[in-house]
Amino acid sequence: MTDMVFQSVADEPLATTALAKEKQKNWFKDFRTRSMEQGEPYVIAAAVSPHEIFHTMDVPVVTNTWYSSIISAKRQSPYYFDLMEKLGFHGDLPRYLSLPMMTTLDNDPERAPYGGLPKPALILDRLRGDYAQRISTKWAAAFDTETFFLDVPAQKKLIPNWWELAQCDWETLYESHRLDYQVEQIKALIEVAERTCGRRFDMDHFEGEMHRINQAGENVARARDAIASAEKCPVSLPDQLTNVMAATWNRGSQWSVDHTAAYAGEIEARVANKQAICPGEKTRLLWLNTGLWFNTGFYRAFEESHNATFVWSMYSNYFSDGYRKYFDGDPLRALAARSISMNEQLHLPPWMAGWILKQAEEFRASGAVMLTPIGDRLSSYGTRACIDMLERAGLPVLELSASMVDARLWDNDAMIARVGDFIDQRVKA
Amino acid sequence: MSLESAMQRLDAAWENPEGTARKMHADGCKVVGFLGATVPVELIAASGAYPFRLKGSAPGVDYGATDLSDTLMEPVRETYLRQLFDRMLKGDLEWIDLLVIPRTSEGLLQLYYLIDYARSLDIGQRMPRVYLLDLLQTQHDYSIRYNRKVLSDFAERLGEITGTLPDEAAITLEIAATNETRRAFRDLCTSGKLTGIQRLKLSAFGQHEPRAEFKALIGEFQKAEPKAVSKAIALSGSTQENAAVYDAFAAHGVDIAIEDHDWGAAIYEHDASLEDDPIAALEARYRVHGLSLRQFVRRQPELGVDGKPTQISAVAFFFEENDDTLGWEYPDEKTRLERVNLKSIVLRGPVGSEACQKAISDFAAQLPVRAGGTAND
Ligand code: SF4
Ligand code: SF4
Repeated sequence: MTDMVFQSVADEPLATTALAKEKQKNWFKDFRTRSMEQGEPYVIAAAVSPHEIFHTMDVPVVTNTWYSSIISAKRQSPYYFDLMEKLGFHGDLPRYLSLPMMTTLDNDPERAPYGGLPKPALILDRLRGDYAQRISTKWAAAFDTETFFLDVPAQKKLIPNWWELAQCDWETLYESHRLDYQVEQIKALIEVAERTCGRRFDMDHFEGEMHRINQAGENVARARDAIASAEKCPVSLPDQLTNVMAATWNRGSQWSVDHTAAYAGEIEARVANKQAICPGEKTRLLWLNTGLWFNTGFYRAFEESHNATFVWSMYSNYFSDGYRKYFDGDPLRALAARSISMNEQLHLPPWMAGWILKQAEEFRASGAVMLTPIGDRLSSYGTRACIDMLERAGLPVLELSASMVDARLWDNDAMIARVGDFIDQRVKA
Repeated sequence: MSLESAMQRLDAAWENPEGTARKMHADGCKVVGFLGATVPVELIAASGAYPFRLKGSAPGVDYGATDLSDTLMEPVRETYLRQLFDRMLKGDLEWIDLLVIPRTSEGLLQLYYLIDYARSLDIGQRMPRVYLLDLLQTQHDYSIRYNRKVLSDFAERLGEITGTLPDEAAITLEIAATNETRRAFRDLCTSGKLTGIQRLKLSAFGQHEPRAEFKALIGEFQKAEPKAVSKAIALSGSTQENAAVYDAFAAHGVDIAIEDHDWGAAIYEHDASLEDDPIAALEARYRVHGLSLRQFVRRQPELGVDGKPTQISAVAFFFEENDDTLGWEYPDEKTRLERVNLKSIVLRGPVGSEACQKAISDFAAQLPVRAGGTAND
């Protein structure tokens, strides 16, 4: 029994996890003081937009999906869904991206998490589906503020194995005509940002940010390698999420570099000391598509019952594979490359599935669970073809339909039973 | 031609929207198919190819099953795209010389990538040749520059297909001729001589039948007498490839006098400028006025294609199942319409459902009956 030599850390989160949470809490406190009490400008931006511009100008960025996840974590989403219906928005309209706007339309600071968001200097959105522009326009009108929409030319050819080119040969990967467009667009955004926020954008400062993001990405890659190659998984998925996401939101800062270094170091130490979250681990699983924000405990529900751990989700190493952009020339072009194909890499079938298969191999996973969001057509695009591709390659996939933000629609016992059956019947240990 | 034979021709094309294109192809003409209402047909015509717009389904043809496409495509996608993809997998569209997919909705862009993926599989060996027309609809100056390049590349691609590179003179001629037909159709639409169903069929006719015939039919319908309507409404929202919603209202004596979806008369509302360089003119026309889910400024649903108010008493908003886009406009629109004394209703697909049918009949019963006159006077 090799199991016995592993020490269980099932109930011990990483020390860096508490620090990451602390960081986010303090960040929010600081944001509130600066924006609400001192009237400093801040910006609401999509997760997949170049926050770096604003970080460089020391303008806080609130990510709309982050605020959405806070609303649902505080179990306030049902109230806002009811409101949505009362206001005449029909039930199939996507909820993940619209919850934050509902707090503004509701205009009740007593109820909104953290007292609601004050008026931003700008709302920045990237056009992905066809509705982002509609929500942001409405939201901006309610705040009486400006919008900026990032558009993106379409990728002509999806070169296989994007992650092999994404860091150094991104000029080839993302196609020069697209990058040209994107650089022009980022320059236009800088002008708008300077005007609406009343701050100057400093190129040298920005270049420093870009280098630090690459450094942090290297640390996340170290952590990923340690987890993938470990005999037994040393760190839980919720721990991975908290640490990597905090680094992502604070990317470009020295904190992010130091934090990811500490995170990787802690995981490497666990591996060296033969510590595992499930010493009896026999089966490793991947979590595909969006996270289950209101119930991250679900990822750990199969350790005791099935000796199965969730070792990976896209948040584990998208920071290292997707965000790192090494550059000799124009750092703005590197930034363009970072944000230009985020969704495509994570959601378009050949790119999405190719990356997942690579992770499955390296993490030695023998099955995957895919969350297909209900009431959010955009996030379900590509999931069928992705499952098809993974199954063809021999990776069994279970698809779960659920809302990312509406806990009312989640039947926990039924979902646990489904994943349990899937492991028993389709996944080889 | 008589009005009667015009109606027969119209119905025949409605029943078999690909018939003419297939015949053209059989006669050796290059046929370029396209999806949506944002592909500049002027360019295709200027290259000498026959342009025709595809539907997902059509009356009289059983395109209903989507079992093949369902293996690769999520059920929440637009019905017409699932049907089209299914037919592509079956090889039904293999004969088209080029299929142009504009990226003016997320659904269309994702379809393009899915076709690419399907091609790598056994079941995807019979896909038509596709071309992604990457037309952006944002108003940024760099989008405009990008689009002009996109349209020039498109012209070149068409030239490769037909052997005739569309030059400025040829494109200008096509713009002028297309504008003229649009104008004739707008005049007919505002003359009160068409029922809603006829207008829908004629709008579609102009998308897949030869321009000369379209003009001839417009001429015939102009000879008809204006039709008095007792209850008239506007239709807004999701695309309508067939007349199910129109029929459902007509069954309760309600005529749809105008619509803003991308198979209706609004396709013909705007001309391309003849003052500009022709590529620039087409760029502006389709970026700003190309009806699509990405379009930034939407038209006001209660206005006629001449931009003037129509004599309607309500606007029905119809959103297909899984609509994630158009429904955002509704609450504000409702408030705005109330200010001009227009009622509104939200209908959710599918049209055939009991709930939708009942909503239509209840709503129709509430509408005031007009003393006489057409929907335009
Ligand atoms: S888990 Fe990540 S995305 Fe969710 S609230 Fe925490 S830091 Fe934000
Ligand atoms: S994970 Fe996907 S859906 Fe979520 S923010 Fe990133 S790209 Fe968008």
